[in-house]
Amino acid sequence: MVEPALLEVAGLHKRFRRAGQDVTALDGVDLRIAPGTTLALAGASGSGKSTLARCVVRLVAPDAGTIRFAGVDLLGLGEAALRAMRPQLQMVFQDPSTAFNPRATVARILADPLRVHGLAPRAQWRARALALLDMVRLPGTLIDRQPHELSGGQRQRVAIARALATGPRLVVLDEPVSALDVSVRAAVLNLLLDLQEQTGVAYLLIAHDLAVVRAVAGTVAVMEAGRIVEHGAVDEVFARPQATATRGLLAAVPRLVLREG
Amino acid sequence: MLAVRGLGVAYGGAGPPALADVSLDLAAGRRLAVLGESGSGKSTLALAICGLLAAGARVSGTVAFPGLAAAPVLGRDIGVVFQDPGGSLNPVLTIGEQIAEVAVVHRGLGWRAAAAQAARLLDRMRIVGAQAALRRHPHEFSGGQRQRIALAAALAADPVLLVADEPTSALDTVVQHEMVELLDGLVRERGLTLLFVTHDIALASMLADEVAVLFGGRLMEAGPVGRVFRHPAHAYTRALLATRLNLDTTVGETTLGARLPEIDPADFSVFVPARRVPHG
Amino acid sequence: MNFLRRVLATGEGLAGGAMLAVLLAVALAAPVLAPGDPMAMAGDPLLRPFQDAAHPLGTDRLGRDVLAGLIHGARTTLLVAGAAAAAALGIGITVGTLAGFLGGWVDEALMRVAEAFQTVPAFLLTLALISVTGPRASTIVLGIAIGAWMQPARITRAEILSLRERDFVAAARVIGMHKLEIAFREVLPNALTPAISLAAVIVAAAVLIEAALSFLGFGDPNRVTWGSMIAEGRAVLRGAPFLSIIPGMALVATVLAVHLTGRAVARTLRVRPEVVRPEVVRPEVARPVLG
Repeated sequence: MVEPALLEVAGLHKRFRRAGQDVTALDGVDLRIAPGTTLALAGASGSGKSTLARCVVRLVAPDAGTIRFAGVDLLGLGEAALRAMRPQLQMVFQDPSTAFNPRATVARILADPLRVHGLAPRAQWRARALALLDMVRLPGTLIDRQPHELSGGQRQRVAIARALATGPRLVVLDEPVSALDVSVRAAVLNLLLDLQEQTGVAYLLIAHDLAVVRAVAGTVAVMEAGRIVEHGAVDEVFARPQATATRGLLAAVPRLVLREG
Repeated sequence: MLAVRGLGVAYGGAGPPALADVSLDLAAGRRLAVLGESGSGKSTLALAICGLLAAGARVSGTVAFPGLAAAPVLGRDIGVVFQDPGGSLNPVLTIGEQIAEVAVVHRGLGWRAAAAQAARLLDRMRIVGAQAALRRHPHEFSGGQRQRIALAAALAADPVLLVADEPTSALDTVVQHEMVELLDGLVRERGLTLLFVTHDIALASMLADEVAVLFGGRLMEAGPVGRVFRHPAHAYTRALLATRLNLDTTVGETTLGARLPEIDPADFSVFVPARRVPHG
Repeated sequence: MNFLRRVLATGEGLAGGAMLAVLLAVALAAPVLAPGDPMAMAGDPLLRPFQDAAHPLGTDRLGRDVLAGLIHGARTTLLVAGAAAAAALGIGITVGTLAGFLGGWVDEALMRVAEAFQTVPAFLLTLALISVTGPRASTIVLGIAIGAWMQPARITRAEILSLRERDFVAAARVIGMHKLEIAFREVLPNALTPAISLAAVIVAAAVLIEAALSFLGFGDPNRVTWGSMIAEGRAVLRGAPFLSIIPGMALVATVLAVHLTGRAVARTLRVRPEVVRPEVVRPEVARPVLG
C-alpha cells in the first residue's frame, strides 16, 4: 500500500526581479517526500534549490503551483492557520553564525518555539531547553551562553534542537554542514540520522556537495535552472547519472588525489 | 622563496596565541597548502606572511624571503586572494579600474596599457565579454566570477608569490572545480609560487606539492603532499583523512543503522558510533 | 555593568562620565545644596564672586544668589534636555522600527511625515508651540522632541532594513512568531546602537535650545534656568560680566560632558571582530610531529 506523501509539490513557478531583470528561479517543479524519509535537493548555486526550500516553508510565496503538506494546501492558509501549522514544518539554516538573534541566550532560543505555540508553561521552559540540548548531545552548561560564545558545530546543533523543539514532521535542512569544520561534519550528520530514526521526522536536504547527499539521503532530485532534471534513489542516480547537470555535479566532487612521494 | 622560522602571533588579552612556533619553507615555483580548521591559525599564518596582521598583534619569530632581492611589496611581489570576494573588491569602482590600478601603482603602467592588460586577464579568467566587463561593478557578477576577478587583480602586477586564503570555500562544488583548474593552469603558466590556505583535504591534494597541517596554532606535520596523505605521521591528519566525506560512504537510508566515522576530540582517534537513539 | 566599565575605561568616558555624574548629583540634591527659593532676593545686589561667603558666586541685579541659581538651573536644564531627548528617541525608534520592518505603504507614509517635519527647525517649532501654549517647560520638551525624532527614526530604519534580511529573522518567521513581535523583540534590540549614539547629540542640542529659548525670554518664568540667567546678565554685561559668564560656563561644561560621554559610548558600542572558536580545544594532546 502506498503511503500518502507527507509533502507534495506540484507545478511550482517563481520569478524574481533582480537588478532590473526577470530571473526565473523555479520553472515548474514537482516533488514528493514520504514520511520519515530524506529527499536531497542537489544543484549548483542558482539552480533554484534554496528558493524551492523557502517556498516549502512559506518564507517566499511562489507565483504558481501547489504545496500540500500532510494533506493541507499550504498556500491557501491564512496567517493564523499558517502559524498553527508551523510546529510541524521547521527549518535549519545554512550559516549558524547568522541564524540566531545575537543577543539571545541558548535558553531563550530554545524556549521561543515553545513560547510562541504555547507548548509548555513558562516554569517548564528551562527544563525543556535542557532536554533539547541533551537530545543534540550538547552539555547543559551551554544553556546561558550567547551564540557568539559557541563554536560553529555547537551552534548548528542548537539550530537543530530549535527546529525539533516543536516535534515537526518535516525539517528543511539548508546546507546543514557546509559552513562547519570538516572534523565535525560527520558528527552532525550522524546526529541527524539518529534523530530521524528516533522521531520519524522527514528531511528535505539542500546540498551542493554530493558527498553530503550520499551520506544522509535515500532519494535525490537534481536541479538545474529551476527545474528538476533527474530524480531517483541516490545509489541509482550516482551510479548511472542521466542528466548533464548530475554528471557535472558528480565530476565536481573534490577527490583525494594520492600521489607518489 | 619563503622561509618562516619560529613564527608566533598573539593578540592582546588572555587566551592562547593564534600561532606558536611555526617554521616552514617554500621553494620558488612550488605550491604549499596550509591545512587546518577554525582556530588553527591558518589564516593568521597567511596574513603574517603578507604583512597584513592587525595593529594589535604581537609577532615573534621571522618571515624571510631569501629568494627576493628586497623586502616584498604587497600587490607587486605578493598577490593575495581572500575567501570572501565581496570583501576584497571595492563595490564602488568598476572592476576594470580595480584591476588596472594594481598595475598602474605597482608597475608604473599607463592607464591605457593597464586597462588592456586587465581585459586580457579577465579573458584568461574566462569572464565572458572581457572588454565590456571592465566597465561593470562587482555586484553585477556571481560569487564565482567575483573570485576570479579578485584573482585577476592579484595577478595584475605580475607577482612571484600568490597567497590565497580559502579561495574556494565560499563557492559551490561546480564553481570550486573550475577555480581549482584555473589556479592550477595559472600557477603553471606564470611559474608562480603558491601558498593557499584551506580546510579541504581533497583540494590540498589536487593543487599542492607540499602540505602543512595546523591545529591550535601549531604545526602538526608538514611534508610532500603525497607522503603526508598516504602515510600521515600525526593522529590528527589520520583522523581528518579517515572521516572525510566522499562519494563512497554509504550510510543513511541506503544502509539502515550505519553511521559515519567520527573523530574523538580527546585523542583524535577515529570511531564509528553505533546508532545512538537519543532520549528526549 | 561590564559595558559601563568599558565606557569608563576610555579617557573620554571617564571625563565625560565624571562631569555628568557631578551635574546629576547637583541637580538631584538642589533643594539640599541651595535650600529656599533661588528666585528670592537673598542679599545685596551685584555682589562680586568670591567676596561674600554666603554668596560664593555673587548676586545678580535683584540680589538673587548666583550659585543657587546655577544649582537649580542645573535641574531644569537636565530635566528638560533629558525628557526631550528621551521623547525624541522613543518616538524616533518606534517610527523607524515600524517603517523599516513593515515596509510598503507604512514605510512610505512614515518617511514622508518625517521629511515634512524635517523642514522645520526644532527651535522655530518650539517657538511656535510656545506662542500657542505660553512659555512652559512641558511645551519646550514637546517642541524639541517633535523637532528631533526624525534622525533617530531614519537611522533605526536603516539598521532594521539591513537586519531584516538576516537568517535569524527568517528563522523567527519559520518558528511562527508574529511580525510585530519579531520587529520589536528580535530585531530592534540589535538595531539600537546607532540611535544610542545619537542620544548624546540630541541631549546637547536640547540643552542649547532650551538655553536659547530662556535667553530670549520664552522659557518657563517659574523656573530659573541658565539661559534666563545669561539674559539677566545682559543688562549689566559691562559692569558685572560674571553674571552671564558663569552660567555660560556651566552650559559649556554640560554640553562638553554630554559630547565626551556620547563619543565614549559610541566607541564602546562599535562592533568587535568575531572571535573564531575552534571546535576542539585540547592543546596538550596535539604535539607536533617532527620531520
